[in-house]
Amino acid sequence: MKRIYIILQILIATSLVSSCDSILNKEPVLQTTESNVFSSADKIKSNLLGIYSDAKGQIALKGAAYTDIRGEDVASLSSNVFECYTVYEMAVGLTTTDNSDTWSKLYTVINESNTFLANLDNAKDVAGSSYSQYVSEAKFLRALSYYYLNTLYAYSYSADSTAKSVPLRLKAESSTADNNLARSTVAEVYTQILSDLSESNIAALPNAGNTYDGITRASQAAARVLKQRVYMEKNDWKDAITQGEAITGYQLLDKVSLIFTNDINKEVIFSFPMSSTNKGGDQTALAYYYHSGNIFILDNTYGFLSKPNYSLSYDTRIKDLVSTANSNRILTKYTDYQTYLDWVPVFRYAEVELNLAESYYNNNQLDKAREALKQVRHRSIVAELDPLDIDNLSSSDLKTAIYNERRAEFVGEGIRSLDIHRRGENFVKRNGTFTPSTNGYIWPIPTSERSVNNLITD
Amino acid sequence: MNQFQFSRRLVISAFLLLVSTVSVFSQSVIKGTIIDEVTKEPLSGASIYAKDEKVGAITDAKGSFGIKISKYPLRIHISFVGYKEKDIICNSSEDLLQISLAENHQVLNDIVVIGYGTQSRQNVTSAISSVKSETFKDVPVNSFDQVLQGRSSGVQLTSPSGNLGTAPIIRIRGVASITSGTSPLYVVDGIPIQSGNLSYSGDINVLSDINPDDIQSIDVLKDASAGALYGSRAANGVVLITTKKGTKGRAKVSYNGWVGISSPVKYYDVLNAEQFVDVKNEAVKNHYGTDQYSLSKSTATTDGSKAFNLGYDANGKVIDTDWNKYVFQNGIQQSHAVAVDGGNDRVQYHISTNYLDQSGILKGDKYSRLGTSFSVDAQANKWLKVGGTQTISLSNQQTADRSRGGNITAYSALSRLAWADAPNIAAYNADGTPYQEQGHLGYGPNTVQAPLDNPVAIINSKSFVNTENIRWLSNYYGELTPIKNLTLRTQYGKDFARIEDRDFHSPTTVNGYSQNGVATNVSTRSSQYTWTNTANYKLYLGHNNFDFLAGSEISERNYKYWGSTRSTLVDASYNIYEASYKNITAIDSKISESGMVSYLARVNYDYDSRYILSANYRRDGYSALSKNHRWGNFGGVSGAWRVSDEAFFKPLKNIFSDLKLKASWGVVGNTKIDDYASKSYYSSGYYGTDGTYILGQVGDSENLKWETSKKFDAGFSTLLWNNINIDFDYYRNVSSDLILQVPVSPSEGIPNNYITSNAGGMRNSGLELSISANIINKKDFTWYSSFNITTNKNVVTNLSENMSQLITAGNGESTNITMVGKSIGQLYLYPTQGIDPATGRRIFTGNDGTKVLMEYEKSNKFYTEDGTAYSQSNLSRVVAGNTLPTWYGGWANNFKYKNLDMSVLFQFSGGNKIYNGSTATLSDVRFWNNSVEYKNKYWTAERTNAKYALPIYGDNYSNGSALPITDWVENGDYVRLKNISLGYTLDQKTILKTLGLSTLRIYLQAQNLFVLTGYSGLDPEVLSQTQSPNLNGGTDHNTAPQARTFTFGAQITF
Repeated sequence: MKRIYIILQILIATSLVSSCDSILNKEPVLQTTESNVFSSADKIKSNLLGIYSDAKGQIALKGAAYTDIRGEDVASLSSNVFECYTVYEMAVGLTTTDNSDTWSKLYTVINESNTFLANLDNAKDVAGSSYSQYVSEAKFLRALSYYYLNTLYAYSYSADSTAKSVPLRLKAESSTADNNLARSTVAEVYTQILSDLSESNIAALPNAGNTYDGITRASQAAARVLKQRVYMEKNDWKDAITQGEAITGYQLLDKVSLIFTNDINKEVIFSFPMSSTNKGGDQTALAYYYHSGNIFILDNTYGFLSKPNYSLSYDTRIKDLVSTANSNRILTKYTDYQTYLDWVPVFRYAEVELNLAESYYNNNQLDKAREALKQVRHRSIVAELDPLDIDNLSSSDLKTAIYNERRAEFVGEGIRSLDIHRRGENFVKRNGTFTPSTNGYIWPIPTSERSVNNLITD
Repeated sequence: MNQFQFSRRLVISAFLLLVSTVSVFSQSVIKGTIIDEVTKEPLSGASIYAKDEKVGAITDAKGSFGIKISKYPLRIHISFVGYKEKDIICNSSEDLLQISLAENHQVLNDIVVIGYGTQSRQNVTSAISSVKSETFKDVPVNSFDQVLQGRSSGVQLTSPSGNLGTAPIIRIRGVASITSGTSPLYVVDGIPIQSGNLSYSGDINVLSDINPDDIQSIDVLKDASAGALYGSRAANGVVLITTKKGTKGRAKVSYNGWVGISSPVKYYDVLNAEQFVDVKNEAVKNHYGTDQYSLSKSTATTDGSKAFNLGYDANGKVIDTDWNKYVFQNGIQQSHAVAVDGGNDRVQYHISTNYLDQSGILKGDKYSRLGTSFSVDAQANKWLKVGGTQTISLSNQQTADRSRGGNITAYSALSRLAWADAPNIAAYNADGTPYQEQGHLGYGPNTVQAPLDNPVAIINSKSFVNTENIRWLSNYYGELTPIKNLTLRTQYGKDFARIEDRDFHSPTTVNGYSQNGVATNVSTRSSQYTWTNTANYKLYLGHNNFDFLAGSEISERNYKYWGSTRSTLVDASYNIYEASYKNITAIDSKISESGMVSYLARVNYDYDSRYILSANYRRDGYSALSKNHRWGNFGGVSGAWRVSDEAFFKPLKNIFSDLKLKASWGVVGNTKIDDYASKSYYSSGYYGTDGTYILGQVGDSENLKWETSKKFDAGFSTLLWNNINIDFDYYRNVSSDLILQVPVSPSEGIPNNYITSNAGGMRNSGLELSISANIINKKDFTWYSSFNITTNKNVVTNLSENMSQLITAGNGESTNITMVGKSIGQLYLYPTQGIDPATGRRIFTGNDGTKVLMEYEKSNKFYTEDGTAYSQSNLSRVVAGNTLPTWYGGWANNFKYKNLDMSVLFQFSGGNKIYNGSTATLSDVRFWNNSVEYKNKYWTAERTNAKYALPIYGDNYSNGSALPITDWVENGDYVRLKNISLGYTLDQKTILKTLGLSTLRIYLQAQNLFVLTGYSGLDPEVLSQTQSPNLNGGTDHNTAPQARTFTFGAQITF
């Protein structure tokens, strides 16, 4: 019997004393904790770059497609809802995936920025000399996200600055307790953006272009172009001009096509980079939409190509960047449909010039406006061959010329629908005319938000 | 081998030992044979025991035995598993010459496998259903779980489609969780195993790694008392599998094989080329005023000037392609299994090997398995027994259908291609290559592109998912019997799977075109071990019988995968990952680990099997829960009273041969949650060329605790007139603290917009009734029948504070809602009222009850009857029906006439609604093909009583594609002839002897011969969203039809 008791004891002992702790304490192997991230300068930087990456996930992928396909220069042949069909049809509703995704992704960037700012505050020493630059970068990303939200989900400032826009989330969120927050007005959101882009915040940003870091992260110039856009939204032309004129160190390249073949260059101010580990795919990458002639095509009837002075065969933008596929005219700014490694420029110097042109015009500085317009147009069209006599355009024709030039220059770069919205114009496109009072002109705040946030009202 | 058989053998060995040691004053050895009363087959392994002399014997392979006796008369007790026991008074050696035993269909005296042991059925106090291998031996399945349908009360099973190898959805007594796993725990020979789909890209059922031929019995533990010893994992029920073990006696070799053919039960009849062109052009005319119109192509097609035109081949023949032919096929299947088992008093073994090769009803569907199982049980000495089982299988599954897993709108969802691809486009070019334009089926003679795939291009280019799975189920035990009735057992089991997925998209397919070929290989390793130590003590005090069990268990699981995608083939003629490609990208790797530590105890008590009590307790610690709440206490109590054994019951005894009242109550939990559900963490990634860390999940790391289910069961089992078994149970299962992804305002920007918290509640209740009887029991003809029905009422009792409803989207479409007060996964659709006879427009119902007409060609699309534009945002979905069956069951019949046997299984289910989304596909007024039914039932001025709207080209709203509509909701009730088989057993001894066989049975079997239903789709047993079968149940959208299978098989023992 003794033997048996020994065996019994061994059995019980081995089974009960087996190391419970290692069995029950399973931390994620491939992930790490917040405290670990904020304990090292390198990881803090990695966290900041992570916010850029998520911003890219929305703004440079489908977001860039949305803001073009809402306009009239680009038409879509696809009737697939996963290929921006609902956006193109101006039928974005409460539960449209494009809507809830955009909302959620932009607010994710905002919360990541807010969380980063809160954590960084407690890790000033770890961040060291980069602290204030990091703060400004996070605020730039927050401002950029609010800018897109304010232009998609609300009427333009010029239409109604007191209209309800989106809720302003400015602190780190991590619980179910803070679901409710009411909408702020369009003006309040711009005030917040301008405060994030304050001169002191801009001063903390690097003033460098034409380098990898210089254009893939926030720079002073990037913050100023965004600020320029916001002042233009507010019809504050003087301040817009101030911001535009403050941007230095960039230049127009010889040909627009070079911007898209050399990702790092002297014209691009802010661009989202792609690499094999982080890039778009089918139905998200711009090349997917533009390359085949089956999905996004340039509209010959409603688009700028229908205008004689904007479809000149010797215009290098047409020669180099417009082609034919599937019997349709296509845009070849994004051509890497096999690996989807095309970078997506957000701000470039030509925009600064044309923003200035529009701002000078509205500020009654017509000569300066003509000059800025010529800078951009005559890069692509030899001045002597240009049928458009810019110097002798009437005031109203000059305005039209500036407006059209923006379309020809920036097609596929997500600017057209922002311009239409900013000016409170109608969308007049192949599939209908959409006035500011039509459903779909602005997007409704999605049901996913309304069903949890009880303070959202129309 | 189950515990009981094992202990019986021990007892017998003990007897034999006894016999050999008792001093012999033997007078004579008498010999005899034991045979089956009906078949006259000798019964090998039956036991004979002479009570007075305390001697016993076991029959050999020929059913013969010899026993030493000293005097007459002698009382002899004969018993054999599955047969009625017999006592005879033996007055001379003549009486023993031939003894026949009758098969015992009453399961009353069966052995039931319970958690960590076995129990005689008559002492069972909890709710357990058993399915013996005998009942499914003719059924051609690749995984054993499929046989539970209709054969086991309380178990509801849905085969989601006719896709080969898709795991069935199994719900035991309803659904016990909202978003956590709801599949039962599977335990093989005491070791919990992994189930479900462990593959990254494929859709496999890892339960098919176990050869159904190796299974002896399947026992389903349904209530808490039965399941509580599996404590934290028993909320969804427990399925215990007992595999076949060796038996003593001469080695027996058996062969079991079948060949079969399967085909779709039904096809949709789609338009031919001429009809297609007519119907589409009419729609174009209705929209644009003329069909001389180009829809998107800027240059006119050479085949004609209309929007849609007939195409002609090189011989001038009209191109008319029936895509059904290029998608569906007859599947050929074969299975061969050989088993050898035998042993002596000390060692028994069972070795089996099996080969299964199947092709499915969808082209490209293939499954093959080569498996081997080896088990040995050895009595090392008087107090030590050791043994174990090794099951190794190598399987390969190939699929072409990308709708598997619920991706209903995949370009290469095969069934969808059969129905939607344009019939006026040729399948092949003149040179024999598949026709396609830039990966898509293309324009052909039409002015709009058919953007889906050409199925021929998929199949010919081998754009498949191939999943190779190497599985090793390994189980070792040692059992000590230091003193009588005390058993100490240690058991270690390992479940290891190594899976490789090979996923290829050829440049000739939509998914492979733009990148000129894409191949993804992923290697998955999933491994778990369980180490269990138990002590079992049986105590007999007069009429009082106790059975004590105590033990501990630890288990850990480790799941990981890695892999990469290569794109842009250098040479497009290759279709494998190993070829040369321009690019390679790693997929996101995964490592996920969990661990559990448990302590358990149980007491079973009975007084003469008349008063029976059972109590059990289990304490589990689980790594996925928050540190403060990771330990949970589970347990249950149950009792039964055998009323029929009471003196006062005597008068009723001639009717009620046996009557037992029983009740149980207990608490169990659920571990089917994400391994890191309670953690907050940062995940790494990249921004351009730099590494990143970003908030990946916000977890409830302080509070996340166990989901628990409180289960109550009460009922009775009775045997009437010694023939009719009736089991009746009422059950009620209240689940609380259900772990939900509680939504937070998306504007909070929390990753994924949720925090996993304990918030939900759910209740399931219902009745279960099983009746079985030998209806006819003649010498030449027997008919055994068993019927079961279960009802289930599922109610979600709680979601979370800020979530009154959970609107869920499957893969490609959102059709369901889960809300408090209703059963999980209600259909949630746009309300419609058919077609307006005056205008031919679909009538939608606005929020305010307004009748709204869908006029696709006008800019606002929705208009009231007086022509005013109606905002689409005023159209909201409504709850449109319960998707869980509320009643289901089966009726099994076994007939025997002389050498012929026949089994017939009907299976039924109902009370649920189905959203027939395939109708939307088949009536879509875009470039897609339509059904003939559509052509015959759309609105025209002459045909105003219509099912479908006036065709307006481009209209994807009126018939349900863009907005799923209530007009397509149908009842899901059905009765199916699930299996019918007819067998013949050869009993001419001379032929058998000449052939060298001991038994030979051949049979024919048919599966899914017919189904009675009012459902207009292909089959009412359907579930498109297999990855979220409860939250997104009840939809039938582009899903493959069920298969009908005929097999011919043979069972031979040598």
